[in-house]
Parts: sequence; C-alpha cells; structure tokens
Amino acid sequence: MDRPGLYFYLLLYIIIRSENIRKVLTENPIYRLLIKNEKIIISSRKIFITLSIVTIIVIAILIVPNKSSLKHIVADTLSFKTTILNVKSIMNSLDDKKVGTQYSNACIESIGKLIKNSKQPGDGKPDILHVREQHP
Amino acid sequence: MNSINPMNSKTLKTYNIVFYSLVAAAFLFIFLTNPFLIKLYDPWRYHLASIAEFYNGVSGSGRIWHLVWAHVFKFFGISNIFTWAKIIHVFQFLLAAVVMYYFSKTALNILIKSPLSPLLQSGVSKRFSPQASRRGDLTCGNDNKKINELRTIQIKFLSLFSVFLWFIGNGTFSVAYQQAWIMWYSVTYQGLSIPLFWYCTALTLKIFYVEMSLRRILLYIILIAITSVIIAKLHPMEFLYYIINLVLILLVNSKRLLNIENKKYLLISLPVILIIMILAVKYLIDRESGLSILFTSNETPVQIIQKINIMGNEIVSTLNRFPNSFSEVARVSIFAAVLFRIVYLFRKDKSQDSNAIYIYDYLLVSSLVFVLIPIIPFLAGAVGYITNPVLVWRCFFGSPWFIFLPFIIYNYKE
Repeated sequence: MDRPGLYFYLLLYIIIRSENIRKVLTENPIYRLLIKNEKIIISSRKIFITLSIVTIIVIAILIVPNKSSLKHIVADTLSFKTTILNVKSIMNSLDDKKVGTQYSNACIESIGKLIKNSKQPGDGKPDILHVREQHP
Repeated sequence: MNSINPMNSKTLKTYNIVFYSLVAAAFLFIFLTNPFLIKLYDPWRYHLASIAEFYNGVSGSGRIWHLVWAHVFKFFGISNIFTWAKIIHVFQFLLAAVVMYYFSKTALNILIKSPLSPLLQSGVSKRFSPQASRRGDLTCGNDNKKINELRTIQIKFLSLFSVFLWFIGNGTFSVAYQQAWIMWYSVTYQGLSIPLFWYCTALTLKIFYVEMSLRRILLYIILIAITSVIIAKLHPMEFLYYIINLVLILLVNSKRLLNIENKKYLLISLPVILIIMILAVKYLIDRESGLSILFTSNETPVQIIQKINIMGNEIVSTLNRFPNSFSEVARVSIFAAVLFRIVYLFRKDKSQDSNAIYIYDYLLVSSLVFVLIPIIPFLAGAVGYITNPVLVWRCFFGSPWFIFLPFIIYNYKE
C-alpha cells in the first residue's frame, strides 16, 4: 500500500476511534455521575432483589442443619413460648424478689470480698474477679 | 384508623392524648422495673464488681463503660451498689426505648411518607404528598395538612408498637432463665452499645433516604463518627453489625444511588463514613480478627473454606442459642415481610420513583442476613472467625425485624 493510502486509512481510523474516544470520555457512567451530575437509568431486572431473597430462603432451607430445620422452626413458632416468656420476664422485673435486686446483704459483702481479694498490681494473687462462669 | 374523618381535629387531638398517655405509662413502667441481679450472673458478678473496682481505686481490667459509671457515681457521691444498678438499669432501659423509637420512626416515615409510596395502595398514595403539603401549593392544602397530621400520629403509634415488639421479641437464655434482652443486658455495656448501633443505623438511613442540606449531612456524619468510636470501644460486635448494614444499604441501593439527581452530598458522605469505619477498626478494636489471621496463614483457599465450615458446623450444632433469642413474633414478622414483598412483585400499579421500596428491600435483606448468620454453618463460621464463636447467635440482635409487622398491618388496614 502506498503512503497516501496508508494515511487515509489512518485518518479514517482516528476519526472512527475518536468518536469512540469521545463516547468513552463523555458517556461513561463515572463522568456522567461525577461531572455532569445527571441521572443514569440502568435497565435492571425488576425482580432481581426478590429473586435473591427467594434464593437466600431456599439456600437457607437446604443448608440449615437438622436441629434448626423448617419443621422445628414452624413447631417452635406454633408453640409460642419464647415471646411469652420474654413478656413474663419483663413483668417479673416489677417484682424485686424475682429479679433478685434485694438478694441479701451477703451480696454486698461478697462484692466487698471480691474487691479485697482481687489482684493488686504485682501481688501475685489469682484474678478471681474475671472468671466468668455464667455468661449469658 | 382510616375509618375516622381526617378533617376532624377532635379525633386527632384524642389520638395525641392517647399516644402521650401511653408514652407516660411506658416511662412509669420503666422507672418501676428492677435490674436483674441474681448473684453469680454477669451484671452482678462482673459488671458491678468492675465498677466497684474503679470506684475504690483498684486497677481493674474493666472497660471504659465501667470506668465512666464509676466516675459518675464518685462525682455524685453514690456508694450503694443497688442504687448504682437501678440508675444504670433505668438509664439504659430508657435510652433503648428512645433510640428504638427514633429508629422505628425514621424507617416507618420513609416507608409510609415517601412521595407516591409504591408500597401503599394507589388510592391512598395519590391523595397524599408530603412535599406538596410542605410547599402549601395545593388547592386543598388544608385537607392535605390534616392528612399529613393524621399520618404522623399513625406513624407515632406504629413506632411505639415496633418498640414494644423489640422489647418482647429479643431474648436470651442462661442456665435456668429465659430473659427479655433488656432485662438481661440492662446493667451491661451491651445495654448501651446496641441502642447506639440502632442510632447509627437510623442516621445512616436518613443520609441515604431523606433529602437534607450539606450542613445537616455533615452533622450526621460527625454523630455517626462519634457513636462508632464509642461502640468500637464499648463492644466491637455491634460495630460489625453496623458495617454489615452499611454494605447491605450500598448493595441494595446501588441502582437508586445512580438514579438520584444530586449525588454530590451522598458521594462525599460515603467515603467519609467508610474512612471512619476503617480507622475505627484499625485503631480502636484491640484484638486482631481470626479471619485475617486465617487469610494471612499459608492455608489454601479450599482449606480456609473447610476451616470456616468446620467452625460453622460446630457453632450451629453446639454453641448456638439461636432458638432462645429468635422469638416467635420475629419469625411471624419476617415471614409476613417476605410474603408482602412477593405479593408486591405482582402488583401492577407500582411506581418506581420512590425511596420506599428501596428501604423495604434493605430492611428485609438485612433482617434475613442477620437471622441466617446463626443458622447457616458457613456464615456462622465466618462471623465466628471475625468475632468469637460463642457469640455468633447474638447476630440476631442486629436484625430490624420489628419494623415489618406494624408496617404491614398499617398497609393492609389502609
């Protein structure tokens, strides 16, 4: 191919590409979002989120171990005990004997003892305060 | 509620009186309740003892929560341990109630008052436009104002209902006691960190879904930053809930974020929040996550997945307290929410130009994720590696399940 022909094709190529370059520069979402600050309508599938939710539920049902199977969850729900117990526990909190607020003076003494016996810096005593036996 | 004539101001007044009477009764109830102080259990044995250590000047290994309360009691000269417990219990119970009300009201406001809310029946949504009502450019401006007032009081009632559900629907079990969450945790640092987590989430929802000035957005970002720091210092688990929530909001709203016209503020606030999160994780949480240790070890990806699965199976089969924390009312609420979403899918008259469906999807996905973490072995294993295997079941407390039941009841009533 002679040289002018080559230049012609090169020029044509640049023109075609420049349109693409212009498009890339001005029509890319980042430019439109940040500089032109315009709305971008993305054709998304409307049921995408719902499908994901359904998929999560299906996966959950398939993967959950026997202990928390759907059958058990339904049975637990119908037996309706946790919520009732929670209401009961809130109501019980009105009775100070049931929640142990007035447990006894021994409690205050026990706290006093714990503080007395607790580890002082460098005294070598066991740190009994932070043995947490009954963590909820 | 829709049977009343919205024009009748007397009815509105009655509603307001009933509402504030209920609030007053709830406050009185909270003041009358007692903290759970059975000997050998955490509130007594660990938390009050740690406060006592700081109070008496003994250098203890308690957290900042214990230190602050010790200084407060020292400042006011209160030395009785039972008085300490009662003060902390009432303060944290009240704080939880107020913050949960704020979160519920924020979420329900966006769900119900969003312009042309597609989640409501078309007949109802077309009657009402909060923007038009604020501008006062309607021919029937007075009617619109009345409807707005009616809807506001309805949202207040629904928010109160949500708070009630939250109090009775979250629980925990230890040895022989099934306790409501608030009764168990009212004298612990989690009694403060969980309400703060919901406060952070409510502010984030406002940034994402409510049109605001730059000044207000900056204020909310500062509040989120301060609250995040407090949460990260008090109990980093709630910080993890917040990060999961933030990621879910971004994922669910990705399409909407590109659609909104003035994205400037949102695009500024997002990186700021993310930077705050990264700094808080890096400098405020003093323990390294097991997951990062696992990833930096020489294990192959398959071995890592296997390890996560093994831990997950162990958590689900032995360490899980999921059935005692995940109450029946929460199950009913989430089931109703999924049903509502499926029914909405087949509704023909829905509008796409609204925040309501986006916030609904976010709340639903978030609820499901937090509920599924303690059930699905892989998720449980991953969270177990990030935090502590014995605490994975607590992820349930990050689920906003309590919003759905009031919203759906309202929707079908309308």
